[in-house]
Amino acid sequence: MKVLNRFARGLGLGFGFACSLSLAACDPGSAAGVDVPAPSSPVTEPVPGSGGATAGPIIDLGAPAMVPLFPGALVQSAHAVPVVGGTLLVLRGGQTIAAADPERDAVFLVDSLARTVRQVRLQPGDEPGRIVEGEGGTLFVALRRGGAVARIDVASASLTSSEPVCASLRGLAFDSKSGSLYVACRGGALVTLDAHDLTRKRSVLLDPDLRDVIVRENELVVTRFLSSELLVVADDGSVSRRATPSPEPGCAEATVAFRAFSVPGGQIALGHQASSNQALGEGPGGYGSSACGGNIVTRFLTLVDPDKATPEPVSVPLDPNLAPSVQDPAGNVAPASMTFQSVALPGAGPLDLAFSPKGDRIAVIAFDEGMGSQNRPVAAGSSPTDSLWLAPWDGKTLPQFVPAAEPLAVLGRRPGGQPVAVAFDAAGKFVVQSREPAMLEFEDGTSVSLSAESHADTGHQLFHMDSGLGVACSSCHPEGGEDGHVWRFAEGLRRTLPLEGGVLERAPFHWDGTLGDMGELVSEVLVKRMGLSALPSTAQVAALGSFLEQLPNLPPKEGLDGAAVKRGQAVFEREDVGCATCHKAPQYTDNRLADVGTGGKFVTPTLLGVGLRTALFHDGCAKSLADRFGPCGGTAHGKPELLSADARADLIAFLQSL
Amino acid sequence: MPGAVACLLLGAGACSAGHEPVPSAPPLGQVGNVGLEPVEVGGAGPLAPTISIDPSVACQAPPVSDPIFAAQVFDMSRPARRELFSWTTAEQAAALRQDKQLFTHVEAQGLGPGFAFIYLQQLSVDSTRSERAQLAGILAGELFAKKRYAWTDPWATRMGWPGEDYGDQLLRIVLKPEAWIVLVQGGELVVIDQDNAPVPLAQAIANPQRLGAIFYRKDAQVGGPECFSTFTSGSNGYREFILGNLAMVEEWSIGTQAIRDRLTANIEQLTRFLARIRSCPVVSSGARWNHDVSCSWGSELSLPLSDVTAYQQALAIPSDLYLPVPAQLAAMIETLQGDLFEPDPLRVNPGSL
Repeated sequence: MKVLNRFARGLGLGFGFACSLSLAACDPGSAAGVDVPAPSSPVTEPVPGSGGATAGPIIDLGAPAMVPLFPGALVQSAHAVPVVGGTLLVLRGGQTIAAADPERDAVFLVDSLARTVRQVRLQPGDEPGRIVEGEGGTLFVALRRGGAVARIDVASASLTSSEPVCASLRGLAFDSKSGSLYVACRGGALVTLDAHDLTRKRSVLLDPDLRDVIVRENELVVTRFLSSELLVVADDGSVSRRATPSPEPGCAEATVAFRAFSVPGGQIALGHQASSNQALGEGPGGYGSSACGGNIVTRFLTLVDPDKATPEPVSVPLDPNLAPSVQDPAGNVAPASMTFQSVALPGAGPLDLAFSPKGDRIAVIAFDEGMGSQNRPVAAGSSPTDSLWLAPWDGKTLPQFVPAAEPLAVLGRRPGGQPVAVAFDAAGKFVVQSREPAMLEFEDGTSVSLSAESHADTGHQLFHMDSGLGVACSSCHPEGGEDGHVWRFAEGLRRTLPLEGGVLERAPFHWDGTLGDMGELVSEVLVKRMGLSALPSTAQVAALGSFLEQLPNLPPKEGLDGAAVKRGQAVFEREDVGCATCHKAPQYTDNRLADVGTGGKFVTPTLLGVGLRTALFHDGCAKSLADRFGPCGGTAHGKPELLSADARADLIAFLQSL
Repeated sequence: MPGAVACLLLGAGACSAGHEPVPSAPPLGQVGNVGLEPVEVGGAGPLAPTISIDPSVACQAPPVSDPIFAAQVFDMSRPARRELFSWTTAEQAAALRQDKQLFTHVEAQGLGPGFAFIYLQQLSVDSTRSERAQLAGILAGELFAKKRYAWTDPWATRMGWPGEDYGDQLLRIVLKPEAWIVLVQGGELVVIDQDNAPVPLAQAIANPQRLGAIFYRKDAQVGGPECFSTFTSGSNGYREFILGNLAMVEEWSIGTQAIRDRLTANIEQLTRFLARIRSCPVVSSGARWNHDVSCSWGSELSLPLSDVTAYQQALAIPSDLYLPVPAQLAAMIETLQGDLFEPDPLRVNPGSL
């Protein structure tokens, strides 16, 4: 019942959402009655509009009358994990397909001909992610929460060994030439393991927030999650060059890079987002459009040539046939150490993509479209049933996905489940992995069930669902966290806040503290600003809160000096320094407004995960904890002037441990 | 205006620091200033006075009577300058100390002679305007073959363009009172003296030794931003002083207390500017910012100046790195703090060498 108790406090203002929407009955019973089923079960809820207690007047938002969202039973999973993508692999022989399932903590091995399924059980909470194939029928799996690399023998479908690597694993790559396994960690470590026995060969510390790692001739390319930056790592472990795509120069910045891999021809495919740097509207539907046109968050497929530098700035006429990244309205192309070609993708939120082995087809998953939100309006040019987009590729110019320049060239499909990953088999036919129900769906229309264990979750669904304006909660809170982006609101700059580690304990929400609970948050953001045309019920809002509340805090940075952390904690707790006065454990916030001389009054932000954030303060002024002690720190923000350089270093070590 | 709203608008200085319970949100659909009941959330302390937040009020920088960069505004009606600053690398600074040769730079490797000189070369072969062509030929010739780029205050060029670094050592250069300035802008060449009085081109051609500096503004005439279009087009705009005629240099110096004091003053100004604009920074993209700022240089100044407009009018390179947003300003402050040095003065009067 822990979740429920915390959740009840999150809804602390008396289920304000339903009540403030003037529904006739503010009956908290259905939400309060929500328990944590295992693994997933329906929860009784009166169906809105069916004469039950929640049937009441429909609110007027100045928009068409709203209808209830998701009529039907509410469901919750004991373990619902935000979508990460990239969990599907067709093995070299073409017959076996491996699917990692972070919610069922298993890897499924599917014989695509016999349609048989074998399951490799992992430890509860391991959350398997990326899979790569080694030599001799071996698979390696990144255990994102388990902090280890698991080795699986395909023939026997068994876990043969597991090696701890780092607290938060992300990317994985196998180099057959050297027999090495490369592991990218969120904390910034790039670890080389011997693929034979998983012993550690080398560990180099790059920038934090690493995502995927790609093996190239004599070098590696590593991506960073929140910035889409690509680092080229030379043989000696040094970063030889780096670059970030800019698919919408002057309008948006590349943010979340969900997936990167090599494609036939030697380039790198990068599936990522770009987030608007234009002024953001807070009125009804304000999150639905950018001043530059399009959405405030757009998904892109970018092809990267790491070997070819972008030419010097040139003045070019606007040409609709050119990919956005090769031109900008000012006629300037910022020179970079790599060349990018980008194309916008449909959908919102996490994405996965695949290139066929011959390099003639591209598949893109639009996860949000598979969420069954029948009540949403359909964006022009798309169909509510499209959750998989297929396009031919000539190996040179990326096809236009949105809008389809040639409708017949881009095929929208609707697999039956909630697609989370896509791959091509040896014959060039697509395979889609669905999280719920757990299954693989094939291009010929057939499917195979992976597990009967249900992890259906209404909160998960709400979180990933396209609101109808091309944006989802997960667009700015990828994997339940934050996108590192600083948004330009009318009232000033505002950095996205993280959701992990018990967000309901951190109410009120938003920097100005204007949203008292989840109900108000959903009402103001999801319904009003994101333009959701259907109305979540009180229990559905509760389910969203419950889903978010279960997201564990991300592991702290690795490799910290324990003694320094301990000394730093003592500094943190010193009354005269004043950190703990407002940043109170366990959430490291006092949930109150304070003016610390940073440009206004803001709710004390949590310090959980602060060590790995790429931007700090409400306006992203500081880029690191060290910067906090510089001009960004605020004129009344504790007493850091009392601290020596060593004491500051200890304090930073402590903060990095949170 | 309710006092609490004023607190928010006027920022940190207008209200006392300290914690307050947060306000609850207005009911859905209700806008405007709403007096809200205080709500205790999470904490256990006593209720604090009610404050109101009106999300419909757009961010507006508070008016000021003393824009921080007012004294550094580069007014095109009075562009003549004698004191200029130029960044240089540590290697170049060492060579300067040893050789005492102020002008050695010919052109950046692989980058050609620079836009200004490409344009001057074009003007020099335009036979329809013989005086202009003649003067352009002088400027594009030996007189400024070895040159330095400079501006009126150090901070305004230190960050440069993304990916470029001009060095962290600062030179102060003082022109002689009799030095003339050639203005290259709007497709024309105009010569002025230190009183901003025009000098006939024929007189300048006849006395090239008096040409102390070129002021160049990259505007629409030379491929800079198109300012009267609904589209953002053309390449980035900027402005610069180009020095090359040693005969018009009265003194140059490096490592002096005066230079350090100037840097310190710049840091202090930027720190105050950061504090003032932090609650309401400029909302603009990098491309739009460059366009708007460089176009504003060609227009008459709109008075009174705000903090932001004074900042814009003091700039030389309105790149993304000069966007007046907190992170960029903080980076600039920290960069300049890193440039502070222990004085090791060298003053050179070229005429005395």
